[in-house]
Amino acid sequence: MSVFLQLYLRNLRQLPRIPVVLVFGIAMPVIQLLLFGSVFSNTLDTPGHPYNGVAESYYEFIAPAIILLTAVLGMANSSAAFIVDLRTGYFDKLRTTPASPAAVIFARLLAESTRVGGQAFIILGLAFLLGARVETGILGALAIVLVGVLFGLLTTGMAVMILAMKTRSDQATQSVFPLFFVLLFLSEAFMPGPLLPDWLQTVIDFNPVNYAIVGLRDLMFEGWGEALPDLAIGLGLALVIGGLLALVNRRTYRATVLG
Amino acid sequence: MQPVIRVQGLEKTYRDGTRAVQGVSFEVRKGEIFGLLGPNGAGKTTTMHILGTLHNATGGRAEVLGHDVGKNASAIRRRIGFAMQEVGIDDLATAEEMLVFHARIHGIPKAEAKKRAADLLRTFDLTAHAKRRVSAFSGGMQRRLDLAVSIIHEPDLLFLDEPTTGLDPQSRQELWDVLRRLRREKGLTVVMSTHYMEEADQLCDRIAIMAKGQIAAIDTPEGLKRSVGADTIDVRFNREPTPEQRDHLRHAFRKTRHRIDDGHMQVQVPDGGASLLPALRIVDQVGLGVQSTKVITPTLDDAFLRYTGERLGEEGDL
Repeated sequence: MSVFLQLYLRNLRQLPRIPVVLVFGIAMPVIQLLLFGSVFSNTLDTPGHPYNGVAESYYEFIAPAIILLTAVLGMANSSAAFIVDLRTGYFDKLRTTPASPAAVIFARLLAESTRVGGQAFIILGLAFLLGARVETGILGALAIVLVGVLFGLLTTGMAVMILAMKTRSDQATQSVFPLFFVLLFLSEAFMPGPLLPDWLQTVIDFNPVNYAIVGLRDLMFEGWGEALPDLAIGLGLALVIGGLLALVNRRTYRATVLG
Repeated sequence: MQPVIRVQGLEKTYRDGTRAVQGVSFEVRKGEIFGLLGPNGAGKTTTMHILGTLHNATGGRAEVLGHDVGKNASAIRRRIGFAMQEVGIDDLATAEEMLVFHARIHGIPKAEAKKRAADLLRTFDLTAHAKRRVSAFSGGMQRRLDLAVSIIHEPDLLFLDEPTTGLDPQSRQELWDVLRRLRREKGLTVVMSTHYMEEADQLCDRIAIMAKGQIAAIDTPEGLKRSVGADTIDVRFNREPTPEQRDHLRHAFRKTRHRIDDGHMQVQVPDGGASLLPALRIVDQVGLGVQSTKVITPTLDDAFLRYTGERLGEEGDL
């Protein structure tokens, strides 16, 4: 445990030393929140929009989706420092010490989750300044960030570690972005279900991202009772994905690093 | 006493089919500095990586500190240090942070970790750079730091893969001194690879000559050199010997190979150091004066040539 703690603390110390990850991870979502929030602001007045009169503004409506986006994209940057370790040979150096490869990778993901949690809070704070309110209070706000981080950790966080070991390339690991964007647009992130085309209304039922977004939105506008079922499904699916990715991580480690 | 390392028939074939190690066997005793000498591609690094739990073997057995490398890697990792050929340093840390961190993951308390870090920074002449990011270090400084990191937890067994490549002669000498001291004071065992003849000769207690994934010979540096052939005593006389003196000399050295011409004599003997004085006495008895003497001993390079059919070449010269 002390080995894991030391690894975690080392990783935290490193975060400010790769400023591009800190800046990029916050700049993108801020732009998206402001841009989408203003460009689509009138869609809230569309007849049949279930949040017409419920949401203060479109900023508030898309805030949960942007927080999820922050977390998922933020976790996709988790591999930056790991790739530095792979390239310098320091990861191999660590493998000759009591720091097991699994501990090295999970301590990395935990430190990056900490960073992403902070970034998600900043976005939530910005949404608050723009008039967004969380119905479930401070606990609900914490839950929104935590769920977002967990979702990102189990999906893109786990995925980029595999790509990092396989390619040792930052470009390759960022190829997970587009996939997530597709899933984001195939959800109720920007438009509520009833306003989506029929085919898309079928697709969203199979999209784990959608369950997370609907759950987060319920934490924001409704209450715990409404939110929990969707959050459970969303996180459950993420857990399955994360479990599968853990197996692939193990295989990749054996094939590429252990040799 | 149980050997620190016991390797039997070790093999490693990589996925691309490269047979890097092809049935290697040896033992390393406690407190020994054991060298793997050979050119690039001989299998030195792969052998050390398997022993250091970095790679799996594809055949044979290897025990390190009493543990099977394939089955009990974590027990081995607690007690070894490993300085790799491509220096493994944390580009995002300072020198001091790296040292303290490595002490801490070996369970050393914080105060003690800081003390050891300070000591090692001094030993490796890095105190002035303690708070600097290691990515800004020169190659030689990075290598020194990597060595310091590899011994901060006082391992029982240290692996050094070409440790002095990129070091200037003075740093190289200092590293040798540090290793000798650790061996003397802490009973450290060292397994090192090198392609520097002089390093193997001066530092190692025993050397395994490796080529093409196999060990061609294992012995002390002296033993390896001796196995090549005799020493040669070369005596230059102060004047040209007369025919009578030549006959006397030929008679006296009739049992060994010798050559007398141009005012000097070469005699092959098993041990040049011990035979020099008796040889000079004979020269004196014959009535000849001596201008200079030389004892020519076979070099490790000669031994390398004998066992592998190749010279280690110029890149191995210091």
